[in-house]
This record gives sequence, C-alpha cells and structure tokens, in this order.
Amino acid sequence: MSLFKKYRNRIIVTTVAIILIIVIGLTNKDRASLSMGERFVGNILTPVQKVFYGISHRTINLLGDLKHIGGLREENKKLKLKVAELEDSNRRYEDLIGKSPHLKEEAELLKNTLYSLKPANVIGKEPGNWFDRFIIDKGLKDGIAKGDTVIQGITKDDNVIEEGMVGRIIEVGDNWAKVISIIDENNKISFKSIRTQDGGIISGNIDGRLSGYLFDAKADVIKGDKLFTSGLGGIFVKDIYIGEIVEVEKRDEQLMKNIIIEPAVDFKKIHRVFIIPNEIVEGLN
Amino acid sequence: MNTFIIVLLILSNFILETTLFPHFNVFRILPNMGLVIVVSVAILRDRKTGSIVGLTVGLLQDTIFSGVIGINAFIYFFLGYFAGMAGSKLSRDNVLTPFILTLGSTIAYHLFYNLFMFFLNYNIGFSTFFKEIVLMEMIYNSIIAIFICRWLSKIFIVPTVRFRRR
Repeated sequence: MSLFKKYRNRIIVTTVAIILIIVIGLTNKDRASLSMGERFVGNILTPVQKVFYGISHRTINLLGDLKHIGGLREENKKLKLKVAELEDSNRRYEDLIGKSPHLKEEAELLKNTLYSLKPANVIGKEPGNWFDRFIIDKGLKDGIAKGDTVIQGITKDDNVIEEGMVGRIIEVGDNWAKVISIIDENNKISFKSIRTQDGGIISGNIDGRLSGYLFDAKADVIKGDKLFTSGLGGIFVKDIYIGEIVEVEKRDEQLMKNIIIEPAVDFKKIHRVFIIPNEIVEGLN
Repeated sequence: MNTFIIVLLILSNFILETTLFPHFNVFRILPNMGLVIVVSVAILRDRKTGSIVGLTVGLLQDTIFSGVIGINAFIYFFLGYFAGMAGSKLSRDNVLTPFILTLGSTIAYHLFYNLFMFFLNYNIGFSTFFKEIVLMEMIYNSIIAIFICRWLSKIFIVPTVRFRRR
C-alpha cells in the first residue's frame, strides 16, 4: 500500500496510457457503426457547430463583400443592363419550352433518375493539418449510409454545371456523418482521362492537390486534361469530375508517368454538398 | 470556479476551432489551438490539471473527427503532463516559458502522431510534411501561446506562495 502511495501519480499516468493504447487498437479496425458514446457526443455537439459554421461562413462572405464596395455602383449598372437582356432571352426560351412540354419533361426525368441527390451542409472541419475530414448535418435518419459518395455542384469553364468529387462518408451518426475528402493523403482514387480514356490512380497530397500516376507509361496525357472517376474497385461512383491536370512529369528511371491534379472543388471554402446514396448506384450498374 | 472556466474554455475552443478558425488560415496552415490551450493551462496550473485537460481535448477531437479514438487523447495527455511538470519549475511570468514549451510540444505532437500513423499502417512522407507544415505551425502555435497564456493568467487565480510540501 505504501508503494502505491509513493508512486500514485505514475501509476495513474501509466494506467491511462495503457487504456488509451488499447482503445486505439480496438477502434482502428474497420467498424460497421459508431459506439454509443461517440453517437451521444456527436448528437449533442453537431447542432451547435452547425450554427457557428453558418455564422462564420456568412461573416467571411460579408467581409469579402466589403472589400468590393467601391466597385458596386458600376457593377450594379452593368448588372441591370444584363438582367434586362437576360429577361428578354428568357421570355423567348420559355416560349420555346411551352411549345414542347414533353421534351421538357423528358429532360427533367433524365436529370432526376441518374442519381437522386441529397443536399447537406458542412458543419465542422477537423482541426490540425494532418487530415482533411469534415462533418455534415445529415445522418442515419436521412438515409445516409457508410461509403456513400459526396459531391458538389461546380461550374466548369464552359458554364456547364457538373458534379465535382468531394469525398466519401466514413462514419455515420444519427444526424451527422464524417466525410473524408479526396485530398486526404490516405484516399486513393482510380481515374480516367476524358480525352483518351487512359486510366491511373491518384491520391491526396500534403499541399491540397492530388498527385498520381498512369497505368500506361506511354499514355498520351497533357496539361489541361480533365479527369473523371473510373469506378474501378467500386468505392467511388463512376463518371464524376475530379479535376484538371496541371503538371505531367516523366522520369526515366521510373516506368510510370506522374501527374499533379488541381481538384475542381475548393476544399477550403466548402459549405454545401450533395450525397449520392450507394444503393441507387448499384441499381444503375 | 476554475474548473468551470476550464470546461467552458475547452468546449468553446473546440467549437470555434472546427467552425470559425479554418477560415483564417495563413498559407493553408492552421495553428493547433487545442495544443496551445493544453500547454497554457498546464503551465499555469499543475501537471494533474494539464493532463486531465489534455485528455478531454484529445478525446473530444477524436470522437467527432477521426476514425481512430485515442491518438490525440494519448498525445495531449502526455503533453499536458510534461508541460505541467516543466511549468512548475520554470517562471510562469516569463514570456519565454509558454513560447519554448509550445515549440517543443508541437514537434513532439507531430513526431508521436507520425509514430502512431506508422503503426496504424498509414503512409505519409514525414520529411516533406515537416518542412512544409510543422515548421510554420511551430511558430504560429508559439506566438499564439504567449497571448493565450497571458490572457489565462489574468483569469486564473494562481497561488504564488505555498507553504505545504508538494
């Protein structure tokens, strides 16, 4: 007993350390669902985070607006002209659409049946610089499951709105879920180039870009090629836009071509995302 | 009273850190506020409080964000413990105390994190990571720690003279 009294502090510290190491070992496995404790803490904290994330996002936008206040009047004039122009053309289009209702319906049907998208808001980001994970405000109650793909609507150069790859869901709580983004160092994605259909593998980089290699060393890739997911391996959904190649490098001693990709989604400004449920994708394939 | 302040500090820090602070990154690098708080509290209080605060901050962060529970908790626990031990021997009023302890803690945090990641079979090149992120983060953390420590020392009622043997 006197031994315990003498080394009381050290014994407590060692016990805590051993317990933590055991917990790390137990939770490192690929778990099917969250434990009770995790779910409880998450359910309490995520609504608060949701409020704060919304506020901070709005504040940042406001600050950005204040910077441009000088050019507002000029811009307003230009926009008014533009609106009048657009309204005119819009009227003509509506006329055109009204003439062919069945065409319109068909187009909308196609748009809706491809994937049924579920909207969600980002409510928190992991602190620190190691990983790029964040949490969203939809969970089990909204029909979100582990492994679902997360995307964001992005506008490409030619004003076409497309799905841009954000990441995938790794764990789900009752009304929140953890998302691991594609720029995370441990995420590996199989891609194909839209121009030549050459395939390869990319993974995240520390500086927020993606880097990877092509399967075929003789493959024809150039700077500016657009990359889509290929769906190999079945983890990510097929045909979703990832980003553009910004650098191609070929080293003689290596048998592969290395590339660096700029992702289409701006991960530092992410706010609203969409989720593609997995069962629908399986049904499609 | 102090316990209440510390709990409030941990919770508000966690919420702000995950929602507001990511917007204020400089060159894409974020300071680790959790670590700064743990080290500052440990310096101003003792190793016992430091380790408990470290454990709480780490567990909170692990539960909400990472898949593996316990890594941050483990590292923060020991950082709090050792910072508390060092803090009781160094001058609390000196500006250099929080600066140097945070500098060391940041390096230790990343070394241990890398060690855990290595054993959990993640593959991250540490040398580039160190050059690009850790060096900058060390400086950020240390500068923030000076201000946080000064601010906290006004809030806490620190007993300066003790007649009891510890």
